[in-house]
Amino acid sequence: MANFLVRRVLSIIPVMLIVSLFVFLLIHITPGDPASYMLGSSATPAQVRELRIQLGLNQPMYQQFLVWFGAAIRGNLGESIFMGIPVTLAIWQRLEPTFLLTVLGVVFEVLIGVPAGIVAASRRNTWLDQTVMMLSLLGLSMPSFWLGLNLILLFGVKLRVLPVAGYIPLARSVWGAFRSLLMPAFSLGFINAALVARMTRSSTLEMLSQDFVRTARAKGLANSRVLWRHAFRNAMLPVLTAVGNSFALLLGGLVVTEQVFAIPGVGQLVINAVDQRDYPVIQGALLYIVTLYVIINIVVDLVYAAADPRIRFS
Amino acid sequence: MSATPEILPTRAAEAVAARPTMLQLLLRNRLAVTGGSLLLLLLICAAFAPLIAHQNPNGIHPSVRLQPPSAQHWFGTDDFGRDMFSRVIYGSRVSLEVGALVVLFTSAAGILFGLVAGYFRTLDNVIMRVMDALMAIPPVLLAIAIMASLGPSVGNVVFSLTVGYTPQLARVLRSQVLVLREVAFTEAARAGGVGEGRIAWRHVLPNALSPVIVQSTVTFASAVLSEAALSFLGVGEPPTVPSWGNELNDGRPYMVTAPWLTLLPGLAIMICVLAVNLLGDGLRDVLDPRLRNT
Repeated sequence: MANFLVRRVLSIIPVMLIVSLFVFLLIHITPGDPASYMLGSSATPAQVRELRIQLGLNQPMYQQFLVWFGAAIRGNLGESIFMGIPVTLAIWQRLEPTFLLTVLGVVFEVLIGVPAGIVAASRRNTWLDQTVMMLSLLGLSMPSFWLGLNLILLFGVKLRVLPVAGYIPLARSVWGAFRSLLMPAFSLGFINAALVARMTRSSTLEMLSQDFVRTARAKGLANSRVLWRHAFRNAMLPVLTAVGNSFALLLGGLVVTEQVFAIPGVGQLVINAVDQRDYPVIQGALLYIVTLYVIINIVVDLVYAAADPRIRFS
Repeated sequence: MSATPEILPTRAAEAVAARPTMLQLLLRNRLAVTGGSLLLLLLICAAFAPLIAHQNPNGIHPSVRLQPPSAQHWFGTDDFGRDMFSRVIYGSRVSLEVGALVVLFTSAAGILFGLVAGYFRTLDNVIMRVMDALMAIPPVLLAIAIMASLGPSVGNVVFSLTVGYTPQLARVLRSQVLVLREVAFTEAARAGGVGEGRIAWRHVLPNALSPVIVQSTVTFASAVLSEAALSFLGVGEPPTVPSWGNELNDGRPYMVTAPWLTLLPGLAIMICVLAVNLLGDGLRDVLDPRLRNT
């Protein structure tokens, strides 16, 4: 297991190196000079020159990358051009709602997706199965932010049971934070739940057709016991991978969802930075989110390896 | 007994008919037919938009702003008095164009990288590490970041989404190619003196395409959704382009008083993506019999 862990962690080094290179290059694919692009047309030549020096744009490209990468690896993502604070601080200030939104989103995803998939598989080809599959297909087909808008209209405006938008920090009210994240987390989670439900259904069906399940049935075990003790546990492995992969959709969807619900999180930070062309923030936030995604997937792989010995020794 | 000789030829005919072509299989598949018809409907909307919607999607009429759906304006009007029916119909052009172009470019790039990495194994490590790295960045985020640098335009949306969705395709193709390069018929072709390039192109690639086609439908659906998200965020097409995402963005401030402005373009997105997903599920059933019924 330790061996597997070491190999898995080492494998992210090339990935992160290349990701860093991409993120670094973002600033250089702008049309024209990045510094004047960032400051806009109203900037004076002196201001542009100053920013060029601040960002090191007057140095050769490889040197710029080495300096930037060297700092990033030590946790220094540079300073925001427009906010005047370090990028890491800007991210840190906005981490709480984003973190909670992600966790709550995954909770919805699993709580809706897994049971729905199992029900569909165990009642295969009945109206229940077809309803679940149709719903999940619809879920896969709608933009999460559109679902969010409709939820706002229904629960926020019509029924007035949940806040329309905004975020109440944990420090002020735990219950308030939960309430303000309920709709955004649901709209994020529901889309992924659709994916998880499909995955759960197909992998449960595959397990139900295996020899060991037939054996279990043959020796007279009850249907529910076969389903839960034999099929379910094995069927959950691919689902785990699906949940890990769904983080890409979740972290990407976060940006849009935070915008819809006016949640001051990392996603909103990215959008504000894009509006202001605040490159250190765009780059920093992107690098941060990718790092998070990579770590999440390592954790998923570890859980997978812990659950399935075949993985560890291959 | 005298009927036997007559039955035999019919049986033979049945046996031939029992191995239907791919298209026949598809036409027999309920999912594929539903999805395909919906997609065809959207294609007609896109192709004949000026005939279906008579009003200019960008025609500004301040006197009739924010009107609810009526006989005059089937889908109502937006805050500039623009006819929403026209805008939604014309929106199909943008979405289908972006979806189709992203599929085209990701397929081309995916086939190139997948084949080079999987068959020739040159640069396999380099290509796949780059693909891994790209896959570590959520596609929408990557697209937002690229759009921030390149500026809003349909071409840039297509480019940024192509970068994000190529790795999945390349990976799917490579894993197929890795298996196919070792099977008997490639060995036979090699023994017969067929050049490596020709084996890769004529023998390996056609047999590796099924999962690529299925993956392409997923790419199409994701591209349409991501394009909508990008323009909703204001980093997609320029605001003047009547795309569904732009319409959602424009309608959002009036969500409460004029809900049709956000409801209808969103429904259009959903129908479009649903059509592609249904077609994809159908294709999966037909192309990969092992996955049937799962």
